[in-house]
Amino acid sequence: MEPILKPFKEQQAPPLQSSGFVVWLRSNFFSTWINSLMTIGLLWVIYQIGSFVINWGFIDAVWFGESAKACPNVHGACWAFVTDRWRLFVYGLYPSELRWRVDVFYGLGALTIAAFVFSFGPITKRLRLTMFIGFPIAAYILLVGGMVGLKYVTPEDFGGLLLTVVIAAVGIFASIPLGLILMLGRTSELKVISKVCAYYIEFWRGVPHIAVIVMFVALLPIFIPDGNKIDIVVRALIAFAAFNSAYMAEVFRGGLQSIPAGQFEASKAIGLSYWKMMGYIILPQAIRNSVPALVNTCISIFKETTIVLLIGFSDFLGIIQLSLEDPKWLGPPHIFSSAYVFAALIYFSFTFGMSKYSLRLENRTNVDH
Amino acid sequence: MENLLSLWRKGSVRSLIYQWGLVVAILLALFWVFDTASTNLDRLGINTGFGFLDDEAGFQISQTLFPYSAQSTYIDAILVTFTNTIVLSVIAIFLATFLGFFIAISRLSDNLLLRKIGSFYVEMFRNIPLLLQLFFWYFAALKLLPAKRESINLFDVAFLNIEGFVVPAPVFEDDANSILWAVVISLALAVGIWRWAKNRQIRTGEPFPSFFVGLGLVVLIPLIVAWLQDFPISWEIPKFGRFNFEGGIALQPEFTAMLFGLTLYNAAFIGEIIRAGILSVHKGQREAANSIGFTQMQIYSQIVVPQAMRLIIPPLTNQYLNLTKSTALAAALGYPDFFWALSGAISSQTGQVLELQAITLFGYLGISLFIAAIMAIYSRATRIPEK
Repeated sequence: MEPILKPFKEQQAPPLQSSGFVVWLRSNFFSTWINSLMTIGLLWVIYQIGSFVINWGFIDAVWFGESAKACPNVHGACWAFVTDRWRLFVYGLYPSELRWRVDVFYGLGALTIAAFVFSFGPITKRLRLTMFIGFPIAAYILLVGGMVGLKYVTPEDFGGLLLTVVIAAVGIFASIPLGLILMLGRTSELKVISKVCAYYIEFWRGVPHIAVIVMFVALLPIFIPDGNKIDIVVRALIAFAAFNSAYMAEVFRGGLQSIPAGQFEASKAIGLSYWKMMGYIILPQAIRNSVPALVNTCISIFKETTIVLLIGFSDFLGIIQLSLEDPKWLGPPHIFSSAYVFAALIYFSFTFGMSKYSLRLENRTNVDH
Repeated sequence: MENLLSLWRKGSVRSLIYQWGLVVAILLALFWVFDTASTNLDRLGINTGFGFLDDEAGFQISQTLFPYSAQSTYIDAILVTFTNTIVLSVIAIFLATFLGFFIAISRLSDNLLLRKIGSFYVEMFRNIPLLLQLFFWYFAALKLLPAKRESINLFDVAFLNIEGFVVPAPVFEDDANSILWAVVISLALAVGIWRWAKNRQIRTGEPFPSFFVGLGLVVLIPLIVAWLQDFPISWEIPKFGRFNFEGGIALQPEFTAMLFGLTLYNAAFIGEIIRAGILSVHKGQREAANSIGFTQMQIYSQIVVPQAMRLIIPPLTNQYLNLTKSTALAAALGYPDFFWALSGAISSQTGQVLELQAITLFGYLGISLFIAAIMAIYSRATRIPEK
């Protein structure tokens, strides 16, 4: 008797290889003839760009020199501009005998960041909280001084990378609590409060940041009683806190919306008041869910600090731009490109680090669910 | 006392008190702010009011779409620069979306090398401040371009040199209006056919190639109208005369640098938005469509894209808003945009900072609300009804 089930096809030999380097190569680079062509074309482009970058940035580059005359070769980078001026770029006009204070500030900042990035040994939640609250206070005492025996330094002498970091840090540290309050207001059940917060948030999100900064710097003196003077740096910082808090509010609102309604209902069912429900149940989860978006907002705040150069501040980019216009260094465009490439590398190392951190957090929260 | 306490414990009463308290506090704060402002303005001898807008502006604007001269009023100057902002934003949005689409495709490609290059592009351009990129294009890259006489020749129609980018200009003759009408009518016809075909397919299941028929109509009808009238639209191609280019439109280096910077920077974000949208469509959707015999084209146009769109539209709107707002940075390069006119030229001449700031803020707010409204209409039209 014949078997009822017959195989459709004769049995075939297994494929020669299903894993290994050759298979990986074939499936990723040479799967079809279009892919193969593309791979070869892209390799050629990468080779061209790579050799240009190596020639321009290393082989034909000038590393040390006093003025634009040191860099006659327009086909090579002029790093001499950077090596000659780097102290100005990093410290601005901060008095040179007090620069150790800036160094300590950078060190403390690095430690605070490290406490949030790494988790081992003595790093606990309590330590993180202490650093988060203590760092701004310590930074203020260190940089501005005028107390505990430290000489006073006016914020108008801040410059270069120091000013960039200070503006970004103030923007971030001030806008987080303000943003939380605004978010609570916007999601509140009280109609008037939620409308007021919503208009506030949408207003700041709808206008260009540079317009806001110009407005605060130019108009704030008109709106406060005569005789009070607000430092111009402080005015810019207030502007930064004002519009960034609106963005932070939206970040936290996104985190709040990710919380299932059952959490609210359960908290109400066991009789928690609004503040207890928010403080113990909802906000801890909402904040944790919004951390990746929060880090992304921090990246934009850091990049946005560059616009203060338009109101005449010498932040990192501003002081580089000023130095480029110095007659000693005024030269052909290759000095400009070298300076901008250097600035881009510095900004990139900050923002890329933050974006990698945010990606790590995102993956960690994804695993949780 | 007991009564008052019990009233306070009542949620509805308490919420009323909170809300009225907030309203009163805001009104008091506003009153205080305006009061101090008016005393300060009196003390400084600053006149307020918008009367100055009718005065003669007295400065030149290097790029105008309307006739404008130094004798025009401030109102004209504001309108001209506002159009410049809009033109810059619209072109940059268009180019950035186009480039972003290709970045998204390359990041979803089978080819590992292409994927890596795509992600390298995204990481590089979105992590460097926009202003720095604009400076790079304006002060470093565009300055490397040759002088006018040695312009880079792009197919004999466009020329790139250190003073800008010369492109062909469309020339409209008197009859050109009819073509515009033909385009509008054929678009309306195409939409009508698309709706009819969709309804019929829902009723009877019979498909109709509405996309190709519509495309054919939109292309053919205006062409026929143009042919009937001996082509009233032509392109004026720039030619290098004795000292300068004749004909065509010369885009300033400031405009070119802004366009480069805005496009490359925002394309990185838009590419990520589109990629995330496409990835959000579950793999099972594609496999299911495949198994019931959809073609690759149908899978994308009818299954993947409509679902991805719902996730793409909100962040894309946000990105368009960001782009439009960041055109204000053009003032740093000296491109005559809205912000440049209001915060620079006009404000230094008149000193009417208060009024000019108000115009600036409401101008940009208006653009933002307009874009948000358009995208809301679009997203309502493409929404898939929830079950």
